[in-house]
Amino acid sequence: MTDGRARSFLRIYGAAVYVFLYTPIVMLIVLSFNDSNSITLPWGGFTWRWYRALAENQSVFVSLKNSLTLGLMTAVISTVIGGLAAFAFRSRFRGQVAVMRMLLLPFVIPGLTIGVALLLLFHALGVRPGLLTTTLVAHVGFTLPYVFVLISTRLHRFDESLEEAAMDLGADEITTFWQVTFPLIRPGIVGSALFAFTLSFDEFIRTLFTIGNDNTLPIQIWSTLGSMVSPELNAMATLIVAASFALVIAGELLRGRER
Amino acid sequence: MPACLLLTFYLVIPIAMLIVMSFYRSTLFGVVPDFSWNNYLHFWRNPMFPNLLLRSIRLAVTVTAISLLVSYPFAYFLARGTRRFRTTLLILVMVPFWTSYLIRTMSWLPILGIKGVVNYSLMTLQIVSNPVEVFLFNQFSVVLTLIHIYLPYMVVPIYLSLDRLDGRLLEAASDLRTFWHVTLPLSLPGVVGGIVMVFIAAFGAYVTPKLLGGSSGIMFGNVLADQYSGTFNWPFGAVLALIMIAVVLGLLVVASRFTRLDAVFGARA
Repeated sequence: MTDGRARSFLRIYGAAVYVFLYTPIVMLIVLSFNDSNSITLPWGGFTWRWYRALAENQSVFVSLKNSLTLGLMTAVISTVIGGLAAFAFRSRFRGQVAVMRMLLLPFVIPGLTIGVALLLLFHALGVRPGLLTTTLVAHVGFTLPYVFVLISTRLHRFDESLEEAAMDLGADEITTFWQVTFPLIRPGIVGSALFAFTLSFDEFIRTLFTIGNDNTLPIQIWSTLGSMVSPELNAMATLIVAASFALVIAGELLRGRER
Repeated sequence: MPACLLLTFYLVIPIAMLIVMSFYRSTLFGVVPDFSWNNYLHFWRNPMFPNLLLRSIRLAVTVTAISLLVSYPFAYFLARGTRRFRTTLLILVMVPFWTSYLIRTMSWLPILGIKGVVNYSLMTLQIVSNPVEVFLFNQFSVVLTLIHIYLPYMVVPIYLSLDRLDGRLLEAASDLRTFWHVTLPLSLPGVVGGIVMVFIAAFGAYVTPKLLGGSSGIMFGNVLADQYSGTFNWPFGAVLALIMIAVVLGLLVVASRFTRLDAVFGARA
């Protein structure tokens, strides 16, 4: 499988898969600059007008502010809780496997069923659905397993002799953590927080069933899809994609730098 | 541990609520506490629901199978066919993994639609004279889009399992027979992990069939969601949600016979 012909076949095949993965997104970006009232071809010339329309759309700003606030709070809470869990897993404790399974379970339960189940829970508790109450719980639960796995993978590669050396030199556990452990794993933790932010910023289905009357950007896109379909939608999607790509690439680079 | 407390509220209690709700009764005046199997019977008595379940499973299996066929050679390419640009190529696969499936679903609308890019190209090239309607609002568009948005879920675990293999082992496995007997079995954990991830995502789909499925491409998740947004039959919706979870757990039980699933998700106890 590694002779010349097979190798060039694999390369062409690889390129074809990338074309498949990226064509729709590239089309979406191109069409957001299309001077035409329809969301698709024909090409009517280059324009910024859909971005201008977006900039004048007050409700988009409200949604954007909501998405940013929610993403930020989700990232902070999720990273703290998930990080604590990852640290707890460095030492053995009773019921460890059961706890880990529970931490991984959200990966495999469809988001739709979670959304519906949370709706039932909050309804029964009498909690009014809202951005920073019910939706925040949904987003922290959703991102927590990712953060837990990312940080525990990082801790697994951590050289524990560094901590032992610090303790031998007389540092207590808290000093060792803040002076030795934390600075070394900080890029990994910041990277995980960026991923959690991106996941929250882009999340839709768990939001839909828990948000009540508030809006996030994905929710606004969804309701817009049902009514007005204009290239303004392409422009909104392009900006979200650009922001997500920037965050994920930053996160990957942060996690890669320390390898 | 705070994580356990949070997940109790995020997962354990909500699923318990689904179970309780599934025995309640839906009346004109709202939901009434009860202990009745009627909602479950309602599912089995009306052939529409079991048929919908089977069709959604079939669609999800199709998506999973095609994703596997597409992803394996691609993951092999990433693990063995790249050197200098490996990191960049990997990030290019990972980026869609983390970004919005809503937008990636939506991005197919201007391509497949009646006035979409595909039809536009076909007409420009004079292959067809009138726009073709077969690309959108059917099972084809749902399967294609689900493959597109969940392909990274298949590629990444297979890549990771191939990447862990010793390169010399693969050099030795240079013919097809050794590929079947050495490489493939050793990459099985990644394959099983990818199958699990893609099937669950496709089977649990709501956005894609709703947006691109039309009436023939509707899936289990859409009817489930309708019980909460349209018809407001919460108890029956709870039954549908539990069935969805049961299918997923069933798949996990089968998959765990082939590999250690915990490892697939990158966790170490």
